[in-house]
Amino acid sequence: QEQATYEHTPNAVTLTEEDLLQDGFGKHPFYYCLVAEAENKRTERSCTVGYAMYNFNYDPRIGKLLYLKDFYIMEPYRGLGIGSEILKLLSQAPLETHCSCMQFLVLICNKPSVEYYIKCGASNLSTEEGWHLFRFNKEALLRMAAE
Amino acid sequence: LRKAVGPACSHVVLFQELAKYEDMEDQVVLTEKELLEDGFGEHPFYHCLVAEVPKEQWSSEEHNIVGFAMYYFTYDPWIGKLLYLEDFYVMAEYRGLGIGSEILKNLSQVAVKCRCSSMHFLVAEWNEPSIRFYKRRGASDLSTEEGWRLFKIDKEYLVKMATEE
Repeated sequence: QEQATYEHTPNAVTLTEEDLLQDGFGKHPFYYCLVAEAENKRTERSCTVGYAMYNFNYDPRIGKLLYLKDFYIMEPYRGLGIGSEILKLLSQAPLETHCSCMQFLVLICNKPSVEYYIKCGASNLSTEEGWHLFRFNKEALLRMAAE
Repeated sequence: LRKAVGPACSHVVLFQELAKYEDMEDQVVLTEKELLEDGFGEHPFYHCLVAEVPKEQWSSEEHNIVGFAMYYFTYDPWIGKLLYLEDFYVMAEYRGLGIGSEILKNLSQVAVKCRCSSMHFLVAEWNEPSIRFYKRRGASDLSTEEGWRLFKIDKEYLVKMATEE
């Protein structure tokens, strides 16, 4: 929810908490999640301050890819190396699962994120190879399904 | 149209053709064995729909599979499951016959049945025929409209990050 606000689209969240839990931790997980937790030394209670959600895509030319779907750290916890640590762990996952690379989408207006990823060695495939992300929304799908 | 069910299908040949069409032939590093294992082994990483010439018309010299679509399911924490169309190709000689539309219709039915909120896919910006095909059917270009860019981090940089102190 917080990340949705960061990306300026809080009303775009339509999934319920129940759906989200079932889809990630039910019989067939549709995503995997890494969380960064901070412990309050005084109360000894932990809370999640950052997370990365990912799953696996497939390119028939090169095989499995790790697809980083969401990556967010709460503002007060940025600049502490949490993001780097998460990325480091994520980088280990594809190597263990024989993925050729990691792919993800970034909003071009998100300058801090774009700079951060470029520094890590990322390339912008949209600019370099001309790839655009297209979508058929539910309405278009229903129309085509019934043609 | 039917779902590809295993080693008997020759969609592998079509992947090679698609690679040629997209000018990406040198980037194909996956072997046929890996492709088949990844699609039809214990944990399928993709599903495939193939367009086949009717049995009565099969010839031994020509392709019997003339089109295919490769897809899988991805996830958006705000809207749930999405159908991700990875590859979609109809051989040149078989275009303009409604095969592409039929494949898209089938994919839409799969998406609706699996309760996917939408279908996502990438299109190269120079691929004007495909862009027109998709836009005619109601697709939006999210890169242009919302500013999404596809980034990638290659294995060499992943190894670097994975082993950093």
